[in-house]
Parts: sequence; structure tokens; C-alpha cells
Amino acid sequence: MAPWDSSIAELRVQDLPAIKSMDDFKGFVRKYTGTTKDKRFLDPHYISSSDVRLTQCGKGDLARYLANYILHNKSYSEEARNCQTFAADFYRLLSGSQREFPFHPICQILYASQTHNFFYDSPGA
Amino acid sequence: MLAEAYQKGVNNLSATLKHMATGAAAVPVQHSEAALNKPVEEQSMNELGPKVPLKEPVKERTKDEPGLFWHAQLIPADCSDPKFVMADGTLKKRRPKPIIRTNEFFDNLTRVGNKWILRTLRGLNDWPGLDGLVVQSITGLVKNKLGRFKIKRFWDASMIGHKPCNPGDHGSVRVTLQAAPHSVSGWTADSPGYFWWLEHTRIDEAPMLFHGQKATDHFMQCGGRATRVHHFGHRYAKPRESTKDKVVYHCCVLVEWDHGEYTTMFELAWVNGVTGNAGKSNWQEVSPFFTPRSSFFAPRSSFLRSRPPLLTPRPAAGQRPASEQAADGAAAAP
Repeated sequence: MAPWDSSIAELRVQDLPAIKSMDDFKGFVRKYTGTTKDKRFLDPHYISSSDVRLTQCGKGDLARYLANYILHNKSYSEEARNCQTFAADFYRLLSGSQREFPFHPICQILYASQTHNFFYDSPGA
Repeated sequence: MLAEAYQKGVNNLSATLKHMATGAAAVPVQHSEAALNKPVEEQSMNELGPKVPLKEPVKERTKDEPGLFWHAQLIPADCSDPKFVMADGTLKKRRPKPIIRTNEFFDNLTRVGNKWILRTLRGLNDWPGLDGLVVQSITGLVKNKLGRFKIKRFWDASMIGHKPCNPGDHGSVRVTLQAAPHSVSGWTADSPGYFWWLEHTRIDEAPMLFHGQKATDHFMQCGGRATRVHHFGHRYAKPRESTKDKVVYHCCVLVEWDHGEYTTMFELAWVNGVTGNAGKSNWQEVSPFFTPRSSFFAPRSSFLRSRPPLLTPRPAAGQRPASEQAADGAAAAP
């Protein structure tokens, strides 16, 4: 436990036992959307949904992909490597779609898919 | 009903983490050979200062060795500025830029070889992850004769043989510290990768926290296949949004599994963003999910410490963690 560092990225994964489906998730987001103090979200967007087409998609497989991804590059930048670029990369990996891009146009400018980083051990590993 | 179940889950998590912390404490403390061979008066700058055992073996490092750098601000011993000091006279805890009293800093320095190590009981400024740091430099903002401010270097790690010196009464003194080499790639040396997974498959079961590359060993044994993937984005709720806030969207990926028992959220963000933000997570019904009072924040919490929370046995259904039972036993004792 240490102070946050805005130049380094971490991958967070959380199981949500109270949310079993997309309908549950939409209900959760609706509950916490607003501008009052107890709210968390604003302007939610359900950008894309797809079946998972990746063959190796068990929990352990996904954990391995994530470890590879973060070990390849741990940097964080608002322009080129952030939550949006990861979400686009990870969605592309699972869905097989090559038409998924970071949500905001600003992040799309410098975006180059890093999906290959999910598959390979980092050079130092 | 749901809130009660969640609270139960949180309680279980606290108990599990407490258990993990106790388990970590049971690991024999390893001291560096160099430190053990030194006379006591050479190990600490202040003989009356606390002799805190090293929690990780500290090796001598060369200048080019890797390791994340941290900066801390030295606060004069008699400072009562409410910006740094609470009403009861203690320093504010867990500041984004850590702070430490000048006397406390110099009392807790220990020499290991040619390096000076900062060892504190609860971590620098109560950040458990900041311990065993190598002092690299001490600098301050001083006024020159023309009245202009400039940065003066009072001490540097290259000054071998010289003890770090107290610069005295200066307005702003900063120390630069370096963490262990493994910090460039992860929280622990044996499980690299800034990646964690909170496994919480049932509301009424204790969540488990895994991190780094070794976490994959555990998840390889888990069942379930991802069936649906959703790309989701949102802005953060703020009473007053700045211009920048209006274009900042956080995106994440939600995965549904074939068993339909839970879903899993995947996201990338700043390192230590959850622990550094009082344990708040937007995806947990109870937030902060990890409260500052939970053992997650304890000095020997195994989350970001030397012992990863791997291989920690999950308490069986209906069975409480051993640490909880031990605590009950201790409470019952006269």
C-alpha cells in the first residue's frame, strides 16, 4: 500500500457476485448515476457487447493475458496508454473484433492496438 | 438484504486479510548479514531510537540499480501547521506526498553497507508499502543573498562515509528515497506485474486477493469460461465538473461467465489507485470496500508487502479464520 502514481498503470480485476448479468449491471449503474455526493457515475455509455470468440478464455487464461500485458508495459499516460486503450485492447482480444477503438476521439488519435502483448511473455520474464 | 450480505462479505474480507497479515508476521524476519555484523551504535543514528527489525533483506545497491523513487517532505519537530499536523499534534497520515518529522526520519535511519535505509514501524507516513527505502538525497529550498530561492543539496548517497545530515531550520526539505529493485515491475519480487484480482465468487464467502504473475497459478485451477464481453464507459460523478472532467471518460470491460454466478470487471488505472484512495472502488456496493481500519491497511498487510496473499487457505464454510479465533482467545484471557 503506497500513494498512487499517475505515471504507472495497474490492472484491476474484481469479481462482482451481486451482478450476475448485464441487466444487473445496468441496474447497478443506474443506482449510482447522478451528481449528488453518494453517486459515482455520469453519462454512462454501453459502448459495445459481443460474444467471446477467443478459444482460450478460462479465468486462468485471462489472468495470464493480463500479467503479460502489464509486464510488457507498465506506463500510464493520458494520451496513449490509459483505461480506454486497455479496454479497447481487451475487448478486441475477447471478441475478435478489429473495429473496436478507445471511446473518446482524443484517445483514438494516438491509439495503436497492443493486443499482441496479451499473448507473449515479457522479455524479462 | 443485499446490503447485509455485502456487509457480511466485507467483514469476511477483513477477517481474511487479517489472517493473511498474521500469516505474514509469522514468517521469520530476515536481517542482512552486513547489518547484523555492525555494532549497534553504527546501525542506528540514535541509540535511543526504535530498533525496528527489517522486514525484508536489504541488499546493497549500486547507483544504477532499478527501483522506484519516492519523495518525502521533512516536517520540523515543532511544526504545528494545520496543513500537515492534526489537532492532537500528530502528523496527518497517508499524504499523497509522504511527510515525516525531521527527528523521526533521522532516528530511524539504519546503515547497511554504504547505504542508509529508512526503517519505520508502520511505513513512511503510515504507508505500509513504503518501508526499507534507501536514502538517495536530501535537498532543500533555500534563499540566496539576492533573495531568490534555489535548491540546495545537503546530502547525497554518493557521499560515502558521511551520515545523512539534518539540514536544520529550512522552510522546505525533501528527501529522495528508492524502493527495492523489484518495485519497477511489481509489488513483490516473487510475483511481478502490477496486476491484482479480487476473487469474490459468492456474496457470503470471503473475497481473496491475488496479485502479479503468480496469481495465474491459482486461476488456472478455476473453472468457468467467458461467454459475453461488454465495453463500458462513464464520467466520474462530481458536483462541479471542470472542462477537463467533461471529456475524461473511464472505460472498462465487463465479462460474463458460462456459470452465470457472477461477472468480472476488468480495468486499467493508476497504480495504487485503490489503496491510495482510502480503499474506494466504484464497483463494490459498500464503498470504501477496504476501510482504513481494516487489516488491508495494517503495516503487515500482505497485499503490497513481501508476502503475497497467495496460497492463503480460504476458511471453509461455517469456519472462521484462525486469526479471528486467536483474537477471541486473547480477548477471553485475563
